[in-house]
Amino acid sequence: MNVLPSIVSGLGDGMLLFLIASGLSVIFGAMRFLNFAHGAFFAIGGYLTYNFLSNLQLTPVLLIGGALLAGLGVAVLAYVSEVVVFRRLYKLPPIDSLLGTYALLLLLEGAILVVWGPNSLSVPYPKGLNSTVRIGSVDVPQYSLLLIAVGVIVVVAMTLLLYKTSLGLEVRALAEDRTMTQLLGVNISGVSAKVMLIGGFLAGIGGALAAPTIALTPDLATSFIIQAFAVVVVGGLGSFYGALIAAVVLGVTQSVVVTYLPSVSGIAFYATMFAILLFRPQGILGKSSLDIS
Amino acid sequence: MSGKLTKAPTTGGPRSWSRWFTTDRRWVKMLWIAAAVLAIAYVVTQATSETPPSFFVEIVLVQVLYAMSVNILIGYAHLPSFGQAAFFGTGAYAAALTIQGVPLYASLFLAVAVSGILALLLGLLAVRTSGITFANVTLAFGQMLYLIAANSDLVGGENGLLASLPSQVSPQSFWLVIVGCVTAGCAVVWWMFRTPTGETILAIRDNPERASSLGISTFRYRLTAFVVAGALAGLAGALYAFATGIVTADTLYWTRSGEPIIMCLLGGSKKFFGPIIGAVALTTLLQQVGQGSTSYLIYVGGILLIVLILLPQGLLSIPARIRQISSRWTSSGPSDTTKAAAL
Amino acid sequence: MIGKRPLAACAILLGLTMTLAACSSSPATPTESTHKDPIKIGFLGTLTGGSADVGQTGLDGAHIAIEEINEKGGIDGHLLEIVTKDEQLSPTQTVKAMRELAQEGVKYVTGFTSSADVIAATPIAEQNGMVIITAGATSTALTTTNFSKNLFEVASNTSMMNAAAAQLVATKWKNVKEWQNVGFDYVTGHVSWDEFQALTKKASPAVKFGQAVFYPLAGGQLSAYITSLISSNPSKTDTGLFVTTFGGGAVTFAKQAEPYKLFDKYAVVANVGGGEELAAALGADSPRIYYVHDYFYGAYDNAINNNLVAKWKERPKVGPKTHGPHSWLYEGYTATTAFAHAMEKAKSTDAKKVLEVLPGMKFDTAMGEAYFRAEDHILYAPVTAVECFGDAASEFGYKCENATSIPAKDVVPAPNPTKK
Repeated sequence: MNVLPSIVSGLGDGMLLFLIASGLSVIFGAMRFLNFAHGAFFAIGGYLTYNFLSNLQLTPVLLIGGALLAGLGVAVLAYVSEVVVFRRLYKLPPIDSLLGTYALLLLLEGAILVVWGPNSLSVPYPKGLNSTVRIGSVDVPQYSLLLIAVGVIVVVAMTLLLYKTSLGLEVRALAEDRTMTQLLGVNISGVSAKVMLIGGFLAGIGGALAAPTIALTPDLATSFIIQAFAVVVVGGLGSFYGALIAAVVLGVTQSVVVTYLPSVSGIAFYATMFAILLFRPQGILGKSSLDIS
Repeated sequence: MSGKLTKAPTTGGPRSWSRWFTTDRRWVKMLWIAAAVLAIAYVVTQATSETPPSFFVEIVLVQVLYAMSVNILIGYAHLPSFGQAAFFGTGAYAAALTIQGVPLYASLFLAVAVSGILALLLGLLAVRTSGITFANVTLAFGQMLYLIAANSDLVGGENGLLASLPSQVSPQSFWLVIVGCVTAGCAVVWWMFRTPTGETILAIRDNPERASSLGISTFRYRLTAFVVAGALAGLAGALYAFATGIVTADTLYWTRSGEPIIMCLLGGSKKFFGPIIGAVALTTLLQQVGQGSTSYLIYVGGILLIVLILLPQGLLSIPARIRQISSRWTSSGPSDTTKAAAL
Repeated sequence: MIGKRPLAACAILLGLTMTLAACSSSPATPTESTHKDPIKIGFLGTLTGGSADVGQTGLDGAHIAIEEINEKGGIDGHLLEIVTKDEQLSPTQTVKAMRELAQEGVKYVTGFTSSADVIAATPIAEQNGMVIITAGATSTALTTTNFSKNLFEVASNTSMMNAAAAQLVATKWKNVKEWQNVGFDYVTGHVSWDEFQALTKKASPAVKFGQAVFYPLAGGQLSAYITSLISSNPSKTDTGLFVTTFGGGAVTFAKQAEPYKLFDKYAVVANVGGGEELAAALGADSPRIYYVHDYFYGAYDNAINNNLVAKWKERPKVGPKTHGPHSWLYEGYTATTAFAHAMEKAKSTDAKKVLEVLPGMKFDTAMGEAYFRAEDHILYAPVTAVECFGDAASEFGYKCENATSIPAKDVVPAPNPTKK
């Protein structure tokens, strides 16, 4: 049997996982707190896209535009959350921050139901991206290619941001040692707010780009957050590239298991996660495990 | 900042209440005695009443025990488990599977034993990791059990297993069983952290490097804490099964691992009474506020956030908080009106 | 430490919470009247969470039924009143809500999305002399292993829908030589596929069964399941796809299958137990799919059904209306009217007397006359099959046609109540 099709489809799946988890990885790396509300940011990104685009003849350009708009909308929401809630959590041990982010997750999940209603909503694929292309011997959804392209753009943009700007330097310093960074005179709350803006923006884009491939239901916020955390932790804490590798590894493993061992496919994701973390507790590219309690 | 006040400044007149409140601790003792008397009276009336005891209170008690078990991990042993539902659910299923063949006490015992053994097996692998990795290893394990249970005919799949009490056990006597088990469970935790083993676990939490340098096997002590927590969670799960009358796979789902953590944090983790207060508060919030309304989650989330903002150290910090505020009142002169206005 | 900032943050939060809460519609309170004490009917359904659509639509149906009955003056001068409780797909919530309803003296309960919750609720109904008529739950267990004298089931159960599908295999879908399967990876998903095979083998022994995939209820990333079906080379002329998923999980699969044109590769795609939520999600590009479910609004032309559909159109809805009146509406409506019929028939509002007349009770539904079979309390009613496909000109982006009603006698299994 040819293993290539399942690897390719796993790659597309992994890219989507990465887009969902990328914002979380940035926030987690820099601020060391467990942002469960990230799931709601992701979901609201998807729902906003529904509002922006559902009545239009959707083209790829429109989708990208809608995704950017959704990203901006969610970035604003993340900023407000930072000011009202998250700011109080940085001083606490990471696990203590769970109360605040979980509460925010519930609040936003409730808000989604009240604003968008109980129906499952869906966003169509953009014209020209609703089919497959043949690459070699494998049919690949065009939309997966878009996801891969966006994933690459996100990686490049984040690399430039983190390594070529002064903000990036501050963010990396923050990730290394929060207290020391503060002592060096960096405006911590300003940097934190910017990190949340970036994280929210990525979550919004992730939600927007996932929207055509999923059902928008009121429980969307809770259904993806665990997988996103898994990607961040398996990748290695705070390692952006690690998250990318982890997303692809988890996506491809799941895909291959579904094809060859369908009876255990349900637990493939968690079994892979379990095994990787036992053999490499710091994650694929991580330096050390974060003490969270 | 610390809120600890050794001696309130002597001010007379209308502000003397605050001095009484901050310095005189007798009222605390009186409050405790009153609470204990009320609790015993409530337990007895429920047990002797014709109508079955309140299901809600039973569930609150089960959650207290469950949160207590989780607090061993996140509050005392420095093991942030996100997969405690694995043991809660295992206890629940074990109880439902065994109650057909054995009496209630044996069934509860088996639930404790099975979850304790499972905790030992997982602990042998997982306790070697720590921090966020430990959280995710336990999470992954819990989710695997959840998915296996939802797909297993042996445990009834998504329709679950019935867990009906034997006919000779009346709801009133089961009420006493719950009260007894939860009290015993809490007592075990209280006692455990006053034994040398428990104190060593706390010492490892506070300074793991020092503990290792003294030649203490941190692994063994953490594993002990993990197994005790797993066994207690199993007991909570078994009680839950009989109180509800049915066990479904959602007893194993990750949100059920998250809830007790929220309870500990809401009450105040690292404190004995934290999970108790937190379990009562969160269960009340989740089950009594905004029920039947579409905005239910908005209320719950909003209230939790307000508590977090006003009391970042949890509900148990209310007295300290009041002392803090009242000390500000007493110490701030009439000139310092801006501060007072900010209250 | 308490300063302006926490207070300001609280103020923002409170403002936000109140605004959001105000946005949501609150249930209508009964108007003051000179009538006798109202009869309370508990509606215990999924009002929040991922399955809120099921509960909220069922609740709409119950409200429509009650408004009609109250307009006619109620039952013997008593108006009906709905008490809503959120099931939250949680046995704990269900038991708690049932106990509360019992304490409030509510004897009649409908709603329910999850069959496990019905099973959790049944003992409490028995202990307190309450009557449950389930609306949304579809497990066959409710009228077999969980049979109870206090429990009645309105929705077609999975066995009935599988039987209807097997019937269609023998008639309408005779060209299909091999069937493949897509189901949720849980027990009912596997049982349905087995049951469908067994029933089909009896009537159409030549039919073969091929590739079967089962994916997680939670959805997620499903392309591997899709490529795994495609790699089994389905034929456009004689392969059929038996799909037993529903709700958001079904939509996610279909959305991810869309680029692969998976459904176009089959001669017949039959969604058994799913409904218009899928047709709506697939939108204008949707291929032709058969939906097999208890009810389809376009299939029945009678006064009750026309009225139900008309009233549904008038009802306010939170969020956009994306599909027509779903089966869940019919189920909530039918269960509620069944209570009223039973009270009228018993000439009493006493639950004991109502319980005596319900077994065997005949009454008119939106699908014509039906009755609760005395032996197992199953609703002896037809199953409906309909073909829907994308149509940009239609109101919701899809069009349905060729609805057929498969009579109850062909689908309702022999009674087999095994409990009590």
